Amino acid sequence: MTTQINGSAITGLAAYRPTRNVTSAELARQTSVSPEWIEERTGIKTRHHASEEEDLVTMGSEAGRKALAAAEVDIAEVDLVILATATRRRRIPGAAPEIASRIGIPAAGAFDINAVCAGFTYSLAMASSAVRLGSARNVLVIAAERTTDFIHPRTPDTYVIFGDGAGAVVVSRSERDDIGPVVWGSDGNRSAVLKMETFDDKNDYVVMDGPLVYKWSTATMPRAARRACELAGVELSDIAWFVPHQANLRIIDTLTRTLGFPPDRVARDVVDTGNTSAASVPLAMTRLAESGRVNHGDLALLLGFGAGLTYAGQVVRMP
Amino acid sequence: MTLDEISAEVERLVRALMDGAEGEVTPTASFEELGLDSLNRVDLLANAEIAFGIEVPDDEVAKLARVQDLTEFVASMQRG
Repeated sequence: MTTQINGSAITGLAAYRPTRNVTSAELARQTSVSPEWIEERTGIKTRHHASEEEDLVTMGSEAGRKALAAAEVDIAEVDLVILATATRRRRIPGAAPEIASRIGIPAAGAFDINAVCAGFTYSLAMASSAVRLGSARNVLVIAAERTTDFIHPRTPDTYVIFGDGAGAVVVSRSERDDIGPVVWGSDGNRSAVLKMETFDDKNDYVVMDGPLVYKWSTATMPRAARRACELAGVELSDIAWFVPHQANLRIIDTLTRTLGFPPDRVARDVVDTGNTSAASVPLAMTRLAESGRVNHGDLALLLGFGAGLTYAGQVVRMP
Repeated sequence: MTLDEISAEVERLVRALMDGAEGEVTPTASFEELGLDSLNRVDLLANAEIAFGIEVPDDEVAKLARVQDLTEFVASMQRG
């Protein structure tokens, strides 16, 4: 067998943000914490809560459609659709095939992956590999989450941070290597620090040991970030934009300080969007792109990390 | 390190995170009383790991609530 290795690049980027915006003041009224506690502890001012109509397929399709338009890629040339999500209630079937059909993509490969908050960066790595090996001309990577289906006011630490939304990128064959090798890892011994539990109403909700999630993230992610740069053959100082998973602002600020990034070069979409699990990295990338401050070709360090515990990250050039 | 030396270093680490806030760093003072929330406490433990060359296991994090808890933990880690 012979294999030709191509380059890969992100050629389109888009987001879908649910219509309803929920303030910390509104959530505080439903829980035992104050708006001041929420802001001090998480940095989050608002987050989106999806309506019943804004289901995963709807949000994912919207983001996907817009990303394809931004990439100027014909839907007939999309060979693979990957959906990263951890919040689909119905397990069978996966939602990626339905999203592909909704967009009108004919007969692409399509599958879902669940790596929770690291879902997008894992999916991006898969997409880049598929394109580089010639298995796909273009891959549509979508991360769509309805985390608010799994939060309960009884646990304010999760109730106030999570939000909903979808982000998408198109990964295309390229003459250049514009998506770096992935760095990934996990620690299943810590799986209990961010998980689901069945409450009295017989439904499952996310519960979290916030300090232990913070401990692992702030101890492990700086090493991963440096390794991703090393694999991509760049220095940390070459990175124009640091886009970590938007878990909460305290984690982002500590990572920023540890890695020495200028704060205005770090994505802080969590302030307006909350923690949207897999969707958080592409939503944050889109927010940066919408700010007008990003130049085509700027190097960005993406780092998804969370429940599992698991992480994946890579250096990419922004479209 | 002697217990006094450990205690002095723990006090220095706590003050560094108090960021100018008021509060007397006594052995029985809780980190919460000194203005450190649970995430600040994790930062404190991370700084202690570097300062003392120790590792703080996850199951100790919630137990180390007061200044003397940390001093005693460091001392026990150094005794081996």
